[in-house]
Amino acid sequence: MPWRAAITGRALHGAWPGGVRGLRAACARGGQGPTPLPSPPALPGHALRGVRLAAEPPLRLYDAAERVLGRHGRWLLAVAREAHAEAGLHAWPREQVGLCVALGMVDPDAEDLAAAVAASRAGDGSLSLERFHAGGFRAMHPLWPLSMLGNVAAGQVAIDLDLRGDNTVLASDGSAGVRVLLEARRALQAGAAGAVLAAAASEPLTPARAARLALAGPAAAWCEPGEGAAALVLEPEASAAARGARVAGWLVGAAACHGLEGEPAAALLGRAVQGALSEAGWQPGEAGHVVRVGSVSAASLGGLGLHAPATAPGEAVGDLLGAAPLLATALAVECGAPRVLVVHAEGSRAAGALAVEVAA
Amino acid sequence: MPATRRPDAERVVVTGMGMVTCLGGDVASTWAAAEAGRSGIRELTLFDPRGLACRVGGEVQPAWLPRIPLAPHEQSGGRPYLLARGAAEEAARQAGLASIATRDRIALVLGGHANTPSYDDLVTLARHTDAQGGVSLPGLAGEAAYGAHQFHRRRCDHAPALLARSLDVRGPALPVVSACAAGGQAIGEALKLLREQRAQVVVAGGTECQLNYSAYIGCVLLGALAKRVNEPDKASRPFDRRRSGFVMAEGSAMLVLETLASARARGQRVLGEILGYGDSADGFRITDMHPEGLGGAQAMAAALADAGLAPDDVQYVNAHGTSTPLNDPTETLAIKHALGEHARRVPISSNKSMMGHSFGAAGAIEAVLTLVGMQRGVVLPTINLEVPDPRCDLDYVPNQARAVAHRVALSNSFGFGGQNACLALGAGE
Repeated sequence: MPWRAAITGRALHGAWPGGVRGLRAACARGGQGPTPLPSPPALPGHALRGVRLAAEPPLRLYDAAERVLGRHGRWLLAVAREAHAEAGLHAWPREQVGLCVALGMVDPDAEDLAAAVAASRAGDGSLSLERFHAGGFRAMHPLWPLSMLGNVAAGQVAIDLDLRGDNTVLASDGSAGVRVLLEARRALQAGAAGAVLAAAASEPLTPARAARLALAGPAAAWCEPGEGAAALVLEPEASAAARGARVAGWLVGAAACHGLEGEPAAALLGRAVQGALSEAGWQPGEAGHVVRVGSVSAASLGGLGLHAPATAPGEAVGDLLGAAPLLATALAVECGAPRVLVVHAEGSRAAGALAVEVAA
Repeated sequence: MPATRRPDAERVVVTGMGMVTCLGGDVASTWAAAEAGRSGIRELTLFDPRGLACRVGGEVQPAWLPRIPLAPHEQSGGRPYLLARGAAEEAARQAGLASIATRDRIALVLGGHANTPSYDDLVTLARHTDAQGGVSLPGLAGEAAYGAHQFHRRRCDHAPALLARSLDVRGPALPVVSACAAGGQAIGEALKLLREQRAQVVVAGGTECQLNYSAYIGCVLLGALAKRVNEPDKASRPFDRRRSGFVMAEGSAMLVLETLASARARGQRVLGEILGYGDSADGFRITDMHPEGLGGAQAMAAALADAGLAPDDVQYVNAHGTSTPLNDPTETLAIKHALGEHARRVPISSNKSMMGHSFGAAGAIEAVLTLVGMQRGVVLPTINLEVPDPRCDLDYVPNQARAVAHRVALSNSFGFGGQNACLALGAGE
């Protein structure tokens, strides 16, 4: 019998309306799918596509938080609040609630620099580095440096929800999303926390991020980025049962692997899938549905013995990087099968798998 | 020492240590300089700091940079990776890591924050940004400096991935990005991996190189750096009334950790033990620590509980001790909360007085120095402690190293954003 972490809270925020159910509907009808990004312009040979967030979550924040959070931090906070409320964690002792967060990179935004650049123009309008050195940089907001720190968004979630327990922040991209769920489940199993809020946010589609993707070439060719965030609350099965919490499903197995020198992507994915199945005590044929994330293709599943129907939410809402495995786990509960396997890969760099049992 | 010992398969010991810091290119030279109370803080040379109120930092001297020929794919890791590679090689040699056949049972956990967008990056981005904030991608693509490596340079998981490949580590590889707590948290996460038998051996530590213009002006803008600095080696002065901020530094430290059962089976010398780990979130303000140090105190209490130790068992505290007006008295309160009356009897010191603050590497560097101190029966000093702050009223081992036989210590790391980590360290057997 595998150790089961009950999922008692779920929240998503992305380019589709209606949270988890809305995402399921978007996947069922094929969704709008990634569209060409209007700005920045695509490079020759790089048809850059992505899914931008339709609307920012309405949040009321104090000034410092407003300044340091950035868009990804706001998404993270929105889903964290919603999942926390759904799970009814407010009554828990705050030292017993852990926080595991996956975040991508935080880019310098042109808006952050614009005032300093404007204050450092020479007479002919060109950027004067001497003027920048001599004090032009002071036109940047004093809290800008904090907004560039990866963990600040997680810190704000801890402040906002008064979470003071075991915590960690992992980066970057989809593999971090698998790992935070793995670490959250381990923290519960080891008794380091009574409940864990696992949350992740994608990177905003800034010009700098678009430039990185475009210039990365084949290393990121599979990635059609999306904007959004996802959060899950996990707690031990016995705890959820004792307090009568509504359980959507259970995380019963998790594995994450990084690529070895010369290892083919299929072999790497196979190691991750085998790890999660082994922990869950399943055979490949027992997964009644598969949720594909990242670079996992439909064709690659058969070679792993996974022949169940599959859903690929990224095709509808874009790849949400670290948030994608959490989003897929939240969606797994809605797939209509009692056992669902979430499989994730980033080419030959990293792979992960999550085994989810669905509550009746 | 712990009232009840864990079984050997759950006790986590240190069998290798390596470091590259502003005091030296390895553990021995860093320790020797720190024991002598030397400062590694100098006028900055890595970028031109003219016009800034603070122009000092803890740079790794060119002679101490690891002389490791990097493969082409490793070039994208930049200076943080280079330092981590040097520290990891030293630790791996000492631990005989190469002789372990089961490579999939070796894991890696690295704290740090990759490469900050450099001043050149910012200037390049500005050059191709129009008045509306739009960026010309074709223009950027034409910049030799903004090539494909840019994709990887800022990824916090890039250096761990490169390091895992270079060391042939085939188990989990975790990047931890909790600001100044990251180095301590990386060792804490490694402890969990080993206790839960997810790995037999873990290479863990931190690396950080933020001594570039953009990161530096970031800290200037925050008002966090030392001010009115005339003598670089006097700039970092934790617990002193005249402290005015921290001094940025770079460096890396790596440890090879394994279960005691594994170390014995491999015939490895035990250099120390990770007795326990505690972490917490302040949950207070994004810009400030909790004024009573409750988050730090909770992390220390959790580390003691995890180790099965009582406050009176602690014989030394390696403080976070940043030299900022806020941290030092707040950490003093946190230590008092955690250790009670015993806080007045235990020596406490800040390595940052000599080495500055290397953010995500600091917790790992300080853990290594704490372990070496236990081996040698020496507590490192807090230098530049000349006029004590009345709010900092504990024993901070001022200015000179002290001979103290000790076998149990705590090492604190508190991060921007309110994340706290504390390691309970032991001398081993």
